[in-house]
Amino acid sequence: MNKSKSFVLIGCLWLSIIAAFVVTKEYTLRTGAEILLKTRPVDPRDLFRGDYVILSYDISRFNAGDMQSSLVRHFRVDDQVYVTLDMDGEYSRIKQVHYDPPRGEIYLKGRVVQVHGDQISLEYGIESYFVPEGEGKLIERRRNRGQVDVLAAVDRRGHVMIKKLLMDDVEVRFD
Amino acid sequence: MARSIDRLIDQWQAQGVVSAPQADRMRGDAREFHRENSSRKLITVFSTIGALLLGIGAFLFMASNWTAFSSVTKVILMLGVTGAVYYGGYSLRYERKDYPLVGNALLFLGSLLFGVTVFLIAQIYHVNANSHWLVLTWILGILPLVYCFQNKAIAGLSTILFYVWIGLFVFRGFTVNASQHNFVALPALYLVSAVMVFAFGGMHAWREEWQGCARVVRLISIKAAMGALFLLTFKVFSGEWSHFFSVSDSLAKVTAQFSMSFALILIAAIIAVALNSLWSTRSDTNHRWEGAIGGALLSLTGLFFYFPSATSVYTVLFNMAFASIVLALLIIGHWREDIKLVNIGMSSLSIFVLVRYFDFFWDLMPRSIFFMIGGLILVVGGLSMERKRRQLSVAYRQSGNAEDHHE
Repeated sequence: MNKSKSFVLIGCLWLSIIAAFVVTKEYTLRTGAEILLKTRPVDPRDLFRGDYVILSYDISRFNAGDMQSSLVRHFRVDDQVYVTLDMDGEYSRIKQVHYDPPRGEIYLKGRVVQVHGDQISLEYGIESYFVPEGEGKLIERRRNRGQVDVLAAVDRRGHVMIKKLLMDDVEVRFD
Repeated sequence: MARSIDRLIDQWQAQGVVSAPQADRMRGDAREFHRENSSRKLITVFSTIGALLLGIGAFLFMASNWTAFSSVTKVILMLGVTGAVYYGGYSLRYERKDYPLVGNALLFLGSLLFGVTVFLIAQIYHVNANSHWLVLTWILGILPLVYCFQNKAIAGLSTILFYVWIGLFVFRGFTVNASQHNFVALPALYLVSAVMVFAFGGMHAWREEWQGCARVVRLISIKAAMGALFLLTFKVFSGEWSHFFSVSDSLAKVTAQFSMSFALILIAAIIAVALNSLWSTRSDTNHRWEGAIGGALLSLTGLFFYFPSATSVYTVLFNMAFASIVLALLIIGHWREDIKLVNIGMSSLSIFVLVRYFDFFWDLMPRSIFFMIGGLILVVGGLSMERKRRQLSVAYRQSGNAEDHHE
């Protein structure tokens, strides 16, 4: 293949990668159902690193003993799980954890990251919130006082994205 | 170098091999070649460092100026700048051909900016900061540049990114507490990975146009392997360090995710070493050495990972392996008149001698004598090694083996 063809093809590849990235994220944001998530304090050693705040949610942990025994097998680190939500209250909470995508319900795709007996920790890909340099400390303090919520969007395939960060029910903006 | 060529020409003239006008012409041409060569190296170094600084600047600018632009503006700005730099590099290198070295540096900068754009978009959408997918996307985006344009700097960048990706991949989703046992096994994983990438680079040396990039990949991999192997020469990574901490216990407790990744990389490394050894077009002694050393390292690391011992037997074996490879680097470097291999061998040897000196004699000698002898070893050893290194460097240059000619 000559150099000019290679040049054009590589340029197209780069554009495709960037476009695919943006389109999939925008798809989740625009078509996803909105859920409100309660954040929880994070171990101080893992606090603000560089330009982002680490977030952990009430739905980031669950007790395997509380789940329907017929659906729950032995959880292991790195397992892919599908989490259905109870959305009756103000905040969404875990209803059930599945090993296969459930039908007819909104679910989040998560991964098991820690197992301590029956206490299971999950990750959904929404554990970082990027902020302008130096703006993270305030959010951390509020988060550790339980004053930070996250409005997220979940699409039909269980992909979830942060839509808004709320402090005392007011959207955090950096304009 | 110019002086040594002048001496050679003087010698030819004295022996009557060349006449006085021919000798003058040869001296002039040699000086001109030397000037041109030095200038090319300087341009390459400056333009690559410039590209690197611009790339780092772009990272920092984007990271610190969140509020100055909207998300859409930032993406369009980054895409525009990346595209312009990429086209500029291509144009200077292949269309106009008048500034090929600067063109190469701009192509390298374009590959850095592509990574910046990927990370920027990930930040806009709050993708998890340590996501290994971002680094993998970056590698997949720039690898075609290595194959199509044979850009050595991008080959080096891809190799370094690959090692970063391996770390992020095996630790994906983990907190420090949850993965403490994996950290103990990390040098073993990197050693296996380095052998794999080295052999993979060797396979690319089969094609002449890829030899320059293959050499960069292999040199980085040798350094990565020596770094990992050096860590494994310590009891804390391969033996029984104390009553409170056991390496064999940690290796037995590594997570399934880490264990699976290690197994996959080990298998890939075995296949890469076998392919590089069996189907290579090269059949020289060095090549057989490469296969044998790669195979031995994989066997030792595999045994260490899957059959850990409660004794320090592996520490002894890794120390022997490290010393043997230093020796092999020095011998092969000398055979091939390759000063870079000799440099890696000598620097590894210096650190190894110093660290083992501390290990063995710290408790055995009075502190004052310990430091005096240690200082003496450093000064005398450093001086003699530097002298030897310079002698070899001059000798290799005189024999006309420029480093770029090695694959």
